[in-house]
Amino acid sequence: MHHSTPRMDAMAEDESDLRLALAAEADPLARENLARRLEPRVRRLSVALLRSVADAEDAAQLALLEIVRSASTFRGESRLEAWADRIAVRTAIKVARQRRLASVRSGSVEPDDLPCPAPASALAEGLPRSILAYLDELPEARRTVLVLRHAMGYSVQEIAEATGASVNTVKDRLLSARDQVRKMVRRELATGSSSGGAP
Amino acid sequence: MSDACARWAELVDREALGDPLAPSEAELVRLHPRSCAACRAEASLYGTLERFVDAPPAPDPAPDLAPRPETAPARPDPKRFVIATIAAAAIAAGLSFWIVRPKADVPAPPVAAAPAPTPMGSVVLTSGAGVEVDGRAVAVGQKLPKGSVVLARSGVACLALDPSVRACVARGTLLRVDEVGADRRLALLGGKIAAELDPQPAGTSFGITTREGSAIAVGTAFSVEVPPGDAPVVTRVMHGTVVVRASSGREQLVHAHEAASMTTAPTPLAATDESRDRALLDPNVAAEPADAAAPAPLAPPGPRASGEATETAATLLAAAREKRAHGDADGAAAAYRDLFARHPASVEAHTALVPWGEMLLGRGDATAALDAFDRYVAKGGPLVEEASFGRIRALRAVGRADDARTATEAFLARFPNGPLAATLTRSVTPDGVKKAPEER
Repeated sequence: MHHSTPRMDAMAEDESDLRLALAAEADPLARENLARRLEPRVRRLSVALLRSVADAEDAAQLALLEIVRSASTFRGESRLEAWADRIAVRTAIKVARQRRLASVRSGSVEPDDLPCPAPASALAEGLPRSILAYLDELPEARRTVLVLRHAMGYSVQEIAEATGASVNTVKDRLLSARDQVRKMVRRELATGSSSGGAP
Repeated sequence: MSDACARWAELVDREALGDPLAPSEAELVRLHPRSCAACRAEASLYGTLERFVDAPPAPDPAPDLAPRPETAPARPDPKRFVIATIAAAAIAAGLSFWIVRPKADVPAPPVAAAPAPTPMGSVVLTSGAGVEVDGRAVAVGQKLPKGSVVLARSGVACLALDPSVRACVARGTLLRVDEVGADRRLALLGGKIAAELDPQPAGTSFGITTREGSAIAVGTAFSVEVPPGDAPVVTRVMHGTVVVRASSGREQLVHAHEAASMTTAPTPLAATDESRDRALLDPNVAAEPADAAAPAPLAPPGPRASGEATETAATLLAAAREKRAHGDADGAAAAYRDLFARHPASVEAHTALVPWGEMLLGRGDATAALDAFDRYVAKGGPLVEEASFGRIRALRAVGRADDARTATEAFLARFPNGPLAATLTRSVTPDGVKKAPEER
């Protein structure tokens, strides 16, 4: 005797998300609950967008702080996760830019520019390396566009808004990224070896 | 790259840019990788990427970002100072929780079919599916320590707070376990909670605190609702007396069949509100999550005439419910029949008419189902809305279309805003002819 409908379920879930966010404004433990719920997703997104362990960690922590602090601005007009994604993407892009500027200034590669370890879910069938290894070989701008399009499901227009690039630039970057990945995949399958770093 | 691969690559690139594909093109995109390892691998890469952010953490823990390789020297990174500064501000604001990496996932305990009696002062989740505690899914039987934040994400969830308090929360409710000792306190952060308790031992109390004050009970059944926004918190009392204490310190007594905010004088409690609050505590409603996987081990509510007979009726009802939850329809039917035969006048037997009717309807015995629903509706009770809904469906099933139409109109007039009204409203066609309510 389950009387709810999918729409009722969705409304109730939205409502509970809104309550969670509103409670987080005033209650420390509700904030903790909010952060614990979103933390795995934010970390994964940061890992996908950023090359190194340090950058991904920094971005995830900054994004979680921003999410918790901004909880009162959540209006329930979208899923809580989608709202948090936008903050996480914005933060990761910001961290990547700061990192790039720092590298340009120092002219060297930082010692803990180690790639993020790949979780099992990053292994694609038929490929010798994790998807993170392929992403690591892409220039930052292409990587960002590819992740936002395929991991986050953003449209070209949404990517343009998130990154501040023009729509045409986003399209160029996306096609270039896909072409580069395609060549890597085909080369590795043809030679039986990986072109880049560790799997 | 062969011509076929080039064509496939061109199409998937177009798709990635958001261009719609013709059906024949979409078919080529779908079929070509079956015969081409390279294109299959490329498609697999994007499929993995699409699932990556949403991947469930349990089988695949989030990348461990905290430990740095021993060989990597610490980087004197100015960013670290920024992070530390923000972290310090966060601590000051009470936001420091996640700076320390969260504990590893702890597997949820197995579903407890019949949890042992709860020790004095403890709080235990006794029913409900989709319940999160501190952001993690938990199963029935989970003990909730002081400070636990509970979110009833998918449906009604019930807690047992020893001694002799049973509290159920509506879907979407968020609460925190503030005190677990002799003076047990639940902080209702949002949503609705209904509680019933036996007379409490001397020196103990149970209360619900809210943003506007608290409601403290000694032995009663009551509910507290914290609506979204700035709407006032409402306490409704079904029986007994509750001390409502506003944050300002103002106190007032709210007696049975009364409702009051923290600052306004009690007013008579609407019958529909009381009915809904009782329904929240009804085990047949409380044990009604999507898959009904977690049997509620507590005795049903209602007039608590003490004695072996009531206890046995409760046991039989709980057994029937558990068997239903585990798909044992025959066992459940036997338990219901046993209940009706041995305790025909009990509250439990009356309550059981509704799930029994649902069960009969599901088995195609609409005539017997109609009889069960008729008997419940005639006497009334907290499940009258559900029983009336079942009656409409049973009337349709036995071919009494006119009676079903009349019953539908009466139902919509009596429960216009209930969760089932929408189902009936949807079943009205544009020409005004009512179809059978949806079978669920």
